[in-house]
Amino acid sequence: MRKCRYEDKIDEYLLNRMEPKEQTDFEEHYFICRSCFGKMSERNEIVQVLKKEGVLSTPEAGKAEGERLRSWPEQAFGFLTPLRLAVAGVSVAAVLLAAWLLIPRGGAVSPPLVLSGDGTVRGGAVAVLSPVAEVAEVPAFLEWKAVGEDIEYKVSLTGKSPLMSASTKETRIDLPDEIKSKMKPGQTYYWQVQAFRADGALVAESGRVKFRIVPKD
Amino acid sequence: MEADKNGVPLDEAILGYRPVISFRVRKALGSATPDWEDVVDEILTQAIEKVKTGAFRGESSVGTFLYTITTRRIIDHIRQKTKVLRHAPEPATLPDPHDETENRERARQIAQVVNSLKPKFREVLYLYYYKEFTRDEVARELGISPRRVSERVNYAIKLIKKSVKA
Repeated sequence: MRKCRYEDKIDEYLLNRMEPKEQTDFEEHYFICRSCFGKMSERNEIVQVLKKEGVLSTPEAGKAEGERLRSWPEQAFGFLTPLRLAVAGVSVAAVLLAAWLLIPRGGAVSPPLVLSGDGTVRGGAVAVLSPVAEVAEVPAFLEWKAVGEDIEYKVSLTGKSPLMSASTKETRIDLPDEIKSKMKPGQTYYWQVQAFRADGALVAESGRVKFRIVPKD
Repeated sequence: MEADKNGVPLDEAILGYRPVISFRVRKALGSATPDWEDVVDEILTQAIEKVKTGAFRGESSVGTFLYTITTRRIIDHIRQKTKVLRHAPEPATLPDPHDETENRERARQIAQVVNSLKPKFREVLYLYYYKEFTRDEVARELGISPRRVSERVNYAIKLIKKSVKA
């Protein structure tokens, strides 16, 4: 495929080096050219990391400013001053201690979200069933899978502002009419389920699930 | 329902532009702005509305049509925001654990690959992206040609992309 003439301008755009007119032309171009947009998205992800403190802004990178680079062992280990070694040692010990304390209690950590093939958002703890992604109309209820017995679920629903927060021992909660009347097609909403034991301890949660009510025809 | 040049219904074609519009809006408003997603939704809704009412029938490119709506909406949003009283509180935004976790993991992978690059690649990346030197300034700093700077930058980016995808 022939290279697009705008492709070489991606870095200039991402580093905000373009004149306004050139920037407008480029922005209009990537709305039309999928190839350039794809390449730019990819490049942008990398550039954002490169511009973060601590990724390239290290003593090794600093050496690039006119000084001769050190040998690779110096570069690899030269930053380890005695103080940094001591701090690193204490940090590692603290992390190990925290992990040892946590493991017997089985403390729950918010799991990453994974969208499975059947569209269910699984949090590794509370699996959310409906609504997710896009829905054709205002949902009548929120539903999820049980995580155990004698569990109380706290459900929150948010749009541009909090809409509802309620508790139930069931795995489904109907949306009151007054809440449904506030929900509009074309809008995006978020909801989350937290599961609590009888003693009040949080045992699982779903993460924040997004859904959108498709605009009506 | 009208269709685009590939025969795809226009409303479907428009929804496919969500990533492009999102990128443009986030760049203009900043990713940390909680409103950006709503602005994107509004743009898509407006575009589909114009198709349904016949205001846009696919005479020009869908991309150009959406670019125009996006640009206008961004300007309107910025104007509206500047009218808000300074002391008015912003609504609280819940971070999306899924997006954050996925993005953090990819960023971590990229950072890991960058740290494993040879010094000659790290140094050009440092000067070009972190310090934001121009290509010529990087060349002068390192005592190499501007063309060599471009070659090293492009090769480093290629290595990063390849390693992260693997």
